[in-house]
Amino acid sequence: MIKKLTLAIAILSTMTAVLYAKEKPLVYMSVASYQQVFVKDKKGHIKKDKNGKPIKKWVRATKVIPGYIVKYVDTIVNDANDTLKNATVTNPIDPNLIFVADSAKSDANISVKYSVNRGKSFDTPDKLMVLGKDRKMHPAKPKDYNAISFTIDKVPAHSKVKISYKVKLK
Amino acid sequence: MRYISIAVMFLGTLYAKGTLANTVINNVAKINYTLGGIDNNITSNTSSFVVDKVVDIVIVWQDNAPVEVGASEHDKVLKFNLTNLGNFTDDINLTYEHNSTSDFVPLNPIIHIDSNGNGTYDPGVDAVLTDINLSSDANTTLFIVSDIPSDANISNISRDDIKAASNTSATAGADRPNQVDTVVRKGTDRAEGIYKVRDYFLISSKSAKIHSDDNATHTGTIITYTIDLGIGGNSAGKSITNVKLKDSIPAGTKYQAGSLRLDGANLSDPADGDAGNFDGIAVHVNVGTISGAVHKKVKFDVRVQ
Repeated sequence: MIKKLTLAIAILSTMTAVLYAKEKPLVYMSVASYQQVFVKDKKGHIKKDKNGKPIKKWVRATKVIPGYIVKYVDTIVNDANDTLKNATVTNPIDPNLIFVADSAKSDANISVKYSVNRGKSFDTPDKLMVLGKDRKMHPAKPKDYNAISFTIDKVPAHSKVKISYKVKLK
Repeated sequence: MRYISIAVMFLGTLYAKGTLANTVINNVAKINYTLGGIDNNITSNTSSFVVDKVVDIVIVWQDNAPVEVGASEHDKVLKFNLTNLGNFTDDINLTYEHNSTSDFVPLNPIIHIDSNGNGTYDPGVDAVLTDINLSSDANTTLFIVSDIPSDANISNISRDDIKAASNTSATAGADRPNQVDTVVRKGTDRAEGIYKVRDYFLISSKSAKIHSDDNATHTGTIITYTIDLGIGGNSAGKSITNVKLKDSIPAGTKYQAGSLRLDGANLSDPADGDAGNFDGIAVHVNVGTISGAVHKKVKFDVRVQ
């Protein structure tokens, strides 16, 4: 009887540990990619607004055509009871992508820096230099960026922050 | 059907290289932060998308002006450049087309590829083809090689095209989750080259001077033949290059050794370093270039047998 009780307690403890392990973390982050598509009616015609402009919407990007724009959205969730501070989010920029200038946005106060050395260091555009084909250093352009960094002052308890930026598929 | 795969092409491309079809683009973000006075870092999920196929081909005529030809000339060449701007190795079908508004119809038109990549048509080297597998962003030189009919008149033109058509079709119907779609930007392209029959042409006349008192030929009479070569038609500022003369000795006569001359200059009989020779049957003279109104004269003597 005691052995059975001990075994039951052990199983219960294990299940609790598993459940605990599967609990949502207090802080987590997701990345999603989107692309813009035309909104169509049931007949397949592109819908237009009152000004005659085609209506577009952002949808999850699963397949993308070269030359098209992709929007990445980082979502940082803080489910803790404390404020998340000194947050720095970094995203690599794939060699097949070109950063779209001035496309970084957020619903929080952020500062943005870029890297031209695959994330080893980040700086503001005016301080970034790259080696040109003429073997001289030149100011970096958005096409030279290969990582992007966002600094967020704080993410209050039980809130989330979204950051987005756009890239163009080569 | 000749089928040629080209992995690496000969010429550089003018176009930026696009991302290859089926490439998977991943993005994983990282965050460093402080929570409750403790530094932490985590990574995000992996966000992925795949690159669709894009069909995009372009063909351009490369000659800067109509290619000048003469009636009855052979192996006249129109030059084209075919580029695959798509993002995968495309199977492209090539077809010759003749524009019916032309003044004449070239004979035996055949499409060749510049097999050795030297930009010039080389008979026997540059292969005939009707299909090509062209890598993404690669380009190649193609030629239409034709003969010009004998009845093509001065200043006549012929418009002749290469039609390049991808054998890859756009994905039809509704979106197919988890499958790469094919988008056609330009699946067919056509470039037109032009042959133009010259308004100037090679003219020749042959005369004979009989060296006898009665101006008749007898056994032993020497005859001097003169072949005059020039440009007829609109000759001003025009040149005809690589002119070569062959003239057989008339039956019943014997070539007089050492008598061959080009514009008064003696040419030796053996096939050696100079421009002429006699091979026992005919005289051969490499006349070279004839320009404008300047004529060239070839002379030689025969003795009546």
